[in-house]
Amino acid sequence: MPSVESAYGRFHFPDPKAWPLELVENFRRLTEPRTLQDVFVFVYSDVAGLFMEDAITALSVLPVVPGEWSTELGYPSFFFDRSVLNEHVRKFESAGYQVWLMEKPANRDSLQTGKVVNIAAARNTHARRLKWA
Amino acid sequence: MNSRAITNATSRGQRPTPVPPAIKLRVVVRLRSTPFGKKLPLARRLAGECGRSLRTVLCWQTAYKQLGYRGLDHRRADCGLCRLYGDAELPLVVEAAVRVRHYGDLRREWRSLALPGSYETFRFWVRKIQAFGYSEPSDERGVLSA
Repeated sequence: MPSVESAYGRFHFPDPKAWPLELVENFRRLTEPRTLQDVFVFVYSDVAGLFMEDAITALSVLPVVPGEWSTELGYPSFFFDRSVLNEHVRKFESAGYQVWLMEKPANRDSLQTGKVVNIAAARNTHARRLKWA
Repeated sequence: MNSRAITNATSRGQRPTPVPPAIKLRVVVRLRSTPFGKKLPLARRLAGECGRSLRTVLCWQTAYKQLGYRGLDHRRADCGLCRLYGDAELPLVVEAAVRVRHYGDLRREWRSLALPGSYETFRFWVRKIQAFGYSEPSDERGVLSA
């Protein structure tokens, strides 16, 4: 099983060849077209998550601890508390990545907006928010 | 999404900007998670994005398969070392770099030391030592390791 060692420990993840094909395609469908410097953060109610290559990239940028790292679904996942989202976005951006925040359309009502929100304007960062089904 | 290039386009003769190992890892992970039949077009696209050839990108994949992340962080063992000047000559160049201050000093030193290599090489190392000093390259790698 491949692994990478960050400043916070060694993290194992399944070989990308063995990642569930259907889930990989779903992820690509949600995130394409993308460049190598685009990182997608999926925002839920209380937590946010990075998946697949974005989760692996997080190991080099963010202080990932083993409790936040998961490979139970067959691919690497990194979940963190939503309260540190802005801080993580800033770290990604200072590392040269463009962060995209993905949010379920169900949250639209709570946000009281129906259009794509530019987080740069809302939260003084450069991340942009997209909807995903 | 955005269309920023990983590396700056370089004119002929210039060395391209190195691709960070973390970006190489992203390329490899995307290639390996892509099924056969779709892999080659993706590799071409990623190669274009990195400003590298298709062959280079496929070599990254091979390096990753063989050595893991460390294979992507590979650098030449003699990177940053002066291959022309040996242990006897290098201290002379370092001392010359201290002495060279005014116009004509550099050529005077070059003539008096009679070092191997060209005047251009001597000037390159003197200027480099004056700007950055000379230190043996460390074996430090990126944050991630295999």
